[in-house]
Amino acid sequence: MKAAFYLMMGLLLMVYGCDPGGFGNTDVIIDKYKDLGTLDINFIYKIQGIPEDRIRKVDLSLAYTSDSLYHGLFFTSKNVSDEQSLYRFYLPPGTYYYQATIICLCQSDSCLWSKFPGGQFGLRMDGGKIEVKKGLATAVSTQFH
Amino acid sequence: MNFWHGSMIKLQLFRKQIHRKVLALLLRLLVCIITVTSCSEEIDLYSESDKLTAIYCLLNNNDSVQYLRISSQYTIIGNGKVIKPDSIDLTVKGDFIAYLSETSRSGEQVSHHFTPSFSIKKDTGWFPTEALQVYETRCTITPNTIYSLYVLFPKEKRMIFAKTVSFGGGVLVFDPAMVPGRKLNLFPGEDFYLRYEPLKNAAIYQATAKFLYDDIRDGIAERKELVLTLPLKFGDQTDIDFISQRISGDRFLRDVAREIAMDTSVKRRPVGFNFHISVGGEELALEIKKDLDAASFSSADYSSFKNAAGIFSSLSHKWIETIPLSKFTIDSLALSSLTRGLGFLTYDEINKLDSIK
Repeated sequence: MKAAFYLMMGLLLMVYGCDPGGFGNTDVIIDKYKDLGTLDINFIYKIQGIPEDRIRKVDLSLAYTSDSLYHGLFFTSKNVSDEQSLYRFYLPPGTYYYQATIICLCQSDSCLWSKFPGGQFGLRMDGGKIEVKKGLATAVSTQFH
Repeated sequence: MNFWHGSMIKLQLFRKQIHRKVLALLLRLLVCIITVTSCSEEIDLYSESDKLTAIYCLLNNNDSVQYLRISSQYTIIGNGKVIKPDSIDLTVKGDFIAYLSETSRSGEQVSHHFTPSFSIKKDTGWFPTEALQVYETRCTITPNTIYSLYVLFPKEKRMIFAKTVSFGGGVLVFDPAMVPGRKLNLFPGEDFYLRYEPLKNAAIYQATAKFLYDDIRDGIAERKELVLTLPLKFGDQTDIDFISQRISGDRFLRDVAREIAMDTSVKRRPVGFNFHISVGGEELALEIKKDLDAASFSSADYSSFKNAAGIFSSLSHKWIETIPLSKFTIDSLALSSLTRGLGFLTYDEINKLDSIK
């Protein structure tokens, strides 16, 4: 009886003993991001007068200062896709500036009338200041006016 | 007297018992001898047999000409790795008629006859080139249509037949997209996702990414490439919007460091990425799965034909050429601890180089 009890205890220890953080190695992932904050950018656009498939995403980048943003000196960039709207960055706490860029592919004057400078292949940008806090998620949505 | 008579009967009974025992022993001995000697004859596992016809035909959506390869296959007695195949043994002799039949939605059948092809340069190597019998027919593949392949041997009164359904269309790639200004980011912490639409009637997908770079030696640039093969994707996944395959930024730098040799006499300029997606039909997927399962000893022999070996299936390709790299990708190649010894130029150095030109 005693032997069975110790055997059961040993088995329970073996199964649960080495996984304090739950299943798998989530503790490693938590460790990697524990001093960081999360920034979620919802890269969306709605431009009137242009078919949705004629406007494409070009770039989503981050800068440390407004001056760097203005000069295009970014410290990181994301692979943007027209099939994906949410982009996540893990960053140390602080102030950041983002820039999201879209391009108009329509021919003729459509792009010009929709405020894309230069018409076809004209770019429009949306930027902003964001605060990232340790252990918290900051969410922002792009707005192209 | 009575005693004597009784003893005689006992003796006779004893003799009879002895007799029976000896007879049983002899019988057992005889059975043993028959069993042992009957198995002494060797069984010939390899014996002469008829050659088997092997046929390969992959309908290509991207081409207006379809090809058929036909040959013979046979059992090699002895060490197959040493005995070089003879062209006589591999060639399919005698007259045969090969044609592709297309069944339209209305049930109408259109036939395309195969004729010998001389447009494909034959490979050199282990198998004799003169034994490679390649045939072609002019035929553009109609999407989502039943195609039948017939190879008829009139003298032998033999016909080889297989059927397949063509793909629902071409490969549609979402990412990477050719958008002016969009660049590819691939550095530690930033992965790239290749996204493409699953094809109707397709069952296997193979994607490769080619990293292109120039080796600049004494001012002369030579284009080089590093091929990154992505894992095979199986299944008729038409219920999902797209198939997504990840290329890890960390892994990319590790692959570059491992595959590209250090050379102090060259400067390297990253150019971009080319992507290639190959899609195969169900029959091709089964054939490839069979090869993959071979290591687990659970291999099942697969053929599209009932009385021949080979494959009749569909194949489609999609190429995406030269996706430019972002400043971050270029700089991580030049400056990361893994690759900084390989001579890759930074983004600013490339700009300087271009301004001098």
